[in-house]
Amino acid sequence: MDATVFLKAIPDPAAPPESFAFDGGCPDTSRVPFVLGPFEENALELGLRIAEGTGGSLRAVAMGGPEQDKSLRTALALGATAAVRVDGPPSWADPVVAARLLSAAADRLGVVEVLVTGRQAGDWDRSVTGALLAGVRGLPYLPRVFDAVAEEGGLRIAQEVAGGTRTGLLATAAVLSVTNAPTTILRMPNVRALILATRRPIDVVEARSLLGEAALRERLVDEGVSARRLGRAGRRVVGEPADVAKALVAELEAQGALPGARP
Amino acid sequence: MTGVPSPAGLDLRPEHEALVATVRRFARDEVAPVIGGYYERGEFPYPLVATMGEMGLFGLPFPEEYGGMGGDAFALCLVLEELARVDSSLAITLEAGVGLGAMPIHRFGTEDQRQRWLPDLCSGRSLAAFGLTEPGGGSDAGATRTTARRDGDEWVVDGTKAFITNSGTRITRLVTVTAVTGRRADGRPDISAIVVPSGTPGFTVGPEYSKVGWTASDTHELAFAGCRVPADHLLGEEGRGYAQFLSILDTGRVAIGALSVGLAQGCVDECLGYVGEREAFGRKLAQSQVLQFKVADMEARTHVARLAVRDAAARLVAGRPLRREAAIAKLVASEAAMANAREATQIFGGYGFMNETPVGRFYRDAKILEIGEGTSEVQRMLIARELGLPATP
Ligand SMILES: Cc1cc2nc3c(=O)[nH]c(=O)nc-3n(C[C@H](O)[C@H](O)[C@H](O)COP(=O)(O)OP(=O)(O)OC[C@H]3O[C@@H](n4cnc5c(N)ncnc54)[C@H](O)[C@@H]3O)c2cc1C
Repeated sequence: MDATVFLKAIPDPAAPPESFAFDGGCPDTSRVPFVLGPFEENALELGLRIAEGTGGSLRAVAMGGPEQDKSLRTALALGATAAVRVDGPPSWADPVVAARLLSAAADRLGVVEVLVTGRQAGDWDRSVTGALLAGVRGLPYLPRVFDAVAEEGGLRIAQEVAGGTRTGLLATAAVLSVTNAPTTILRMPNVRALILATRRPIDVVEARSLLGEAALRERLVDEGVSARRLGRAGRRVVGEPADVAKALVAELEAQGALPGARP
Repeated sequence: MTGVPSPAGLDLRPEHEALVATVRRFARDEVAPVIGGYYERGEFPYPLVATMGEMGLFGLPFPEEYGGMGGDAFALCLVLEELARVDSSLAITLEAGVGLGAMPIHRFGTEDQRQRWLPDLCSGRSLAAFGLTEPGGGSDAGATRTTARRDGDEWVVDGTKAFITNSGTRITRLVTVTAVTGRRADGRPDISAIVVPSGTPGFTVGPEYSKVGWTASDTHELAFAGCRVPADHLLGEEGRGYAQFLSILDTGRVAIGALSVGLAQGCVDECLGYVGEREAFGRKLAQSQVLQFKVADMEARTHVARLAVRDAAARLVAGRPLRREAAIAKLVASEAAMANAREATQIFGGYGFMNETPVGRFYRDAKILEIGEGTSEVQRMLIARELGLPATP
């Protein structure tokens, strides 16, 4: 079974705060290293498992500038057979346009049965691309997948659902949106493959050559991002365990991150 | 890998960047969460070593025909730096496994010896050790007392080696030992290197030392009593063992330098986080200029040490002479690591003295960097000799 995984590199969440700058409300990430997003790591691992389990191949697709290439090369080092990057659109492009571009780019790599995305991008946390991709291609959409095992007649899929797990046999093409679980922790690449992958070609395709200018025209004009409580990001709480626990709960409540709490 | 890397590391080549990013992820995601436990228990981290083997790190600088990764010594230094930024026990396990264990076999072994031993060592399924130091002394390596005498088709090894890294793990396959194999006309010893496989009768591995630092690495005293190995276990030429290990140590010094840079950088990383959070007298520690100056000095030492190590590593890759540069790299980097560990512990206050904090581990791990693979005094002696100053008694 051939699979295509959609990867997105994001500014390294572990990068020191001083490498981030804010320019007129928009984050300036030019000094920040990019890393593969956490759920895309999960998607890549599951894509590899599907390809290995079914004797198929895995291809990788990304969208953005050259900062995306490292992630594609990680995929190549781990066994992806081909990689394509859609060059041009800003990362906050209209998600419908993004899904159409990704779909068109996947078609350049050949026919695929399973399309694998991360559950949500680690930068904007919108969690829409997988579902929109399924809509664009007219395929079933399976959210929060954490396992896919090859079986007679298809793939046995395991999904996270509220309070439990749902399993089922997938016999058709589909879009899987992958979540984090022990089964989807990305393996470490072999360094030889890593070295060789830095020399493999990446197919870079202009966005406008895939969809045409008209489709790419901005329908929503971005006016910047205001970051709430930025100064409090990444606070480390130290002290007695009981005090630390209290401080953490207070912090989560203040951020509206606990059920029923108001920010 | 092709070409000579940029010594100053202004722009790492894409393959080096990819390597650094991958090892950084491994260190952060797989090593950092568990290594404190291994360290406290004094336990060798077999699962982490196995993953490093699968990643190909133990074969990094060796050719593919022996199961290696086709990388180079510069790449190895980058990996050691990233590992030691989080933990030095694993970094020294890799450094000793590659630099002291497999490298002598690759550099001085016959084709048959390379084919026999390297593939397993490159895969990380097995480890090799290098036994030079003896209970009677390490700096004066020419004073080796261990002997090996030829008896028919065999070498018979007798003697004791001290502080040998990777020599007693359950995956240790062999130890290369230096031994006196004869005397020259002027009475000086002929020293040779001989491979002794683990489990050979007459070869006893002593108990694990109780160490101040590097507690998750493996270090033992080794005893050889009438220990017989086949004649073809001689590594390199008979009587050339002294020259061989001097050149191995030149390489090893660059690697220990890289490990030191990693530890020094780890101290900077930890302190930057801590001074931004900890408050005293109603303000963040970061707002104290005294502490800012401490962190700035730590950063400056780390930067200079990194330049020295990368310069020496680039020379190694280019095949240029490096005795002076290797000694300087090891000297400045290990002293930077020690100074940074001392300052980081001070900045962390009481928490710095707790084993649960990484800086507590860094403090315990830093001292050996000024001792192992040639003490700071030995490095200064080497630099003085390279400057043409006379040998002193
Ligand atoms: C954890 C650990 C792991 C190790 N792993 C290995 C290994 O895998 N293989 C191996 O062979 N060895 C290994 N060693 C040994 C290490 O390399 C030696 O400890 C080191 O070389 C110093 O030798 P020594 O301990 O005998 O000190 P000595 O040689 O006795 O030196 C004692 C002190 O005297 C100083 N000194 C000596 N001579 C002079 C002089 N002429 N002028 C000025 N000062 C002098 C030294 O600098 C030092 O400060 C390891 C050691 C440790 C602690």
